[in-house]
Amino acid sequence: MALAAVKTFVAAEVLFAADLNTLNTNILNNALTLISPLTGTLDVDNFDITALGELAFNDAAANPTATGRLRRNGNSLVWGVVRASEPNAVFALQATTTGTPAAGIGTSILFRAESADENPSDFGEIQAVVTNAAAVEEGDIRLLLRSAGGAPVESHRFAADGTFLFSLADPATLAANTMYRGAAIKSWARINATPAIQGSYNVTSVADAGVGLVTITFDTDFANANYSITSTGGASTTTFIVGFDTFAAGTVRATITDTAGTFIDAQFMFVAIGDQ
Amino acid sequence: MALSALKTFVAGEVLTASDLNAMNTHILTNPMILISPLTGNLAAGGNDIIDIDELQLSDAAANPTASGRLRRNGNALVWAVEDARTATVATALVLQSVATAAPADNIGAGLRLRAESSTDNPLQLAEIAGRLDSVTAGAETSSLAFTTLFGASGLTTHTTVTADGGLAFNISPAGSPPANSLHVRAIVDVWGTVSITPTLEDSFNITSVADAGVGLVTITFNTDFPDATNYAMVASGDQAAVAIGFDTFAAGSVRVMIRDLSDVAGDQRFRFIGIGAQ
Amino acid sequence: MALGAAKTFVPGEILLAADLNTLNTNILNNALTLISPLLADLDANGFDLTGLDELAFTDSTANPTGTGRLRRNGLVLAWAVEDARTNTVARALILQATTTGVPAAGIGTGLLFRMESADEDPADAAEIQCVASDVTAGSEDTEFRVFTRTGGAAPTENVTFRGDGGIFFARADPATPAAGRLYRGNFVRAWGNVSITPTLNDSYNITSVADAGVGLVTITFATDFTNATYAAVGAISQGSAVVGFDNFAAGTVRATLSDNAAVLTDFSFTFMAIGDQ
Repeated sequence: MALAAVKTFVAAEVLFAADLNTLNTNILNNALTLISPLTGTLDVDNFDITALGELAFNDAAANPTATGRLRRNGNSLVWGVVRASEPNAVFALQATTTGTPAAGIGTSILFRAESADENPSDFGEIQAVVTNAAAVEEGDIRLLLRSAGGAPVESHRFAADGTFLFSLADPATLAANTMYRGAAIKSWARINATPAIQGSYNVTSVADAGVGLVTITFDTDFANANYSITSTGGASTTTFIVGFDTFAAGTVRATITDTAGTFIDAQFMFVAIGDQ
Repeated sequence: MALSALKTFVAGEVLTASDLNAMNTHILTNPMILISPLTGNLAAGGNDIIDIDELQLSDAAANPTASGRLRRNGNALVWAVEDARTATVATALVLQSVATAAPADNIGAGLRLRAESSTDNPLQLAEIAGRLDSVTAGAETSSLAFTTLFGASGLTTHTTVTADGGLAFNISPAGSPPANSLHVRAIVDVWGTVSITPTLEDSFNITSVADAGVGLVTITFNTDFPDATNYAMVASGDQAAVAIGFDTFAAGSVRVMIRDLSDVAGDQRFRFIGIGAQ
Repeated sequence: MALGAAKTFVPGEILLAADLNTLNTNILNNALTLISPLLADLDANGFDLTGLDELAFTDSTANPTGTGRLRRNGLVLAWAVEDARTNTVARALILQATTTGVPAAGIGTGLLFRMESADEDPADAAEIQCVASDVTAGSEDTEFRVFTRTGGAAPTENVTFRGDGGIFFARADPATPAAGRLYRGNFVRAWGNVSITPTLNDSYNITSVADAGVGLVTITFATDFTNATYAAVGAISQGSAVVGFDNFAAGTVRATLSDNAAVLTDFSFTFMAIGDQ
């Protein structure tokens, strides 16, 4: 027993009121010592345990023994379930409001470790954020990471509109085999001789600007006129030379000539890349 | 004490059976009042606590006090561990979901993030899930998917880190692309460097190049475009004064035309990039 | 009662010491039986539960009933909080892993997704690790590394979201790339917009451009290619002129600019390059 008897009566001993009181109050006054440590499994019988301070898990060095159990295995807190089939989600983080939710409300998970001078140190965060809190809701996932000692800031976003956003400007030094904002193609198209768009990305329209001249209008503009645009012309058995002039953030003009330098209406294609 | 004494005996009082019974059963029938609220830490002694409905954690407004502890700090449920690692990763949380029957391909486990909207409380907002694309013994492959709330479509897989080393963008959104975004239609689909022979010196997603005549090369793609129209090819020659064009577009191939500036066909080394609506 | 009375005294019965001892030790020796199963909520009163092995949650088939509560709903263990925020993010979960030693680059914290395969129960499937590539005070850099499995091997690094905004692709391109996917091999590595002088109007991964003669411009990359077989394509910023490329090297390439009479001529031009790094 965790709580010892305050008195053990001996045979034929006279029973005094004080002793009976002591016996009783020993239990009443030391309830925690009575039950702690537990000597077996505590069955909560579907009730709650409330007002908890900390839960300290021993390292069981093993995974949960059955479905719906939380256990520590080494450094890992393991939540284990056994199921027949889908769905996927087995852990949920929920953060609601007592007020009226608006765009920007969200929930996150923070990853923390330790740096040379921060213990603990916030390393990164994954946020889920509502971008439209009205009916037909939308939301995105944002990754927040650290660079050069700053606090975690948004680095990438799986955007609510279905695109992937590079949230940071290109760094001064580009790592190998690493894609940055600046390496994303911003526009392409195949345009026939009419001119009409046959296939495209980020092109609002093309307009005939004269023989062998086509004005291309981008949907989402570049940041300036210093982007790169490369091209090829082509049609049955004949090549054309395609150049570009009249660069602007939102438009550019294609110039199509034959190899003799004569302007001619012809199919051409382009790929464009640059800062937005 | 949370549970009060039913009776306090006085000196010289006659001790009756009923008083003893009452005193005993008072404890036996009120164990919850006896122990709750706790007056100190409850040691589980390495045992389990089972059949829990809810655990309600007070806001300690502080982080866990030691390794292997779960504590609430503000809104955050904090799980903290500490050991002697200095340069490796501690897997702090494991979400484990195994099957009662034989597992099948695409079995997964996920972390769901919820918030609130004007109509949904809670709102299923996002999910990060790991998945075994193949459960075949000795050949398991897996992926990690980021799922977002995509308007009327609801929770939709947005981007997947795929088993083959890529990023799959599962949504092809309409409308104006945001600045500095990457759209599935803006991913380069093919590129290559072709010798004068012609042979393929380097490439991405190209099965072969074939000589189709003087100044003509047929390029065959490995993974095709969806049709013959929705892609663009650009190229340059490995020397000056070479004009390159493309014709004979198909979903799986295209022909390159290489000419000099007198429009005379000629074999030359060239390089190309192709992009489209794959 | 979960714990029965060891004895029930009858009126007039002689009260013996042994019976009193039995009554007392019955409770003292069977404390767990006394309280378990609980008959109501247990108020921890701000204290801790220590020395835990497992916590087993029943399926309440409902979400948590209040803020700061952990509850199982079906297969989902849900942690719920609620406060007055209306348009900001609540940090609902913190995974913290510190060291008793001196932290160094590579230290981090992970979240593992585990399920079952045909021969592994459980089977580690995928992991997100948040790792510091630099733990130096005041210059910490961190990244999210995604680990997945291939060919039955343990999870290895696949894609890393870097704190500098980039996405690092750890794996070589597959033999057959899937449609619409981004791999190591299919994103542009360099581009530039070059004036007639030549000077760089704008660029990506370009250190410099240098005049190499009439109609000839040497382009130097900041981060080199692996070899000289990358693709470079360009266009002249006017009609009826062509740009080609020669003198390919891992770190440089030369643009050749000619008019439609094949005469090398200075032009402004743009280009992009893609290949292995």
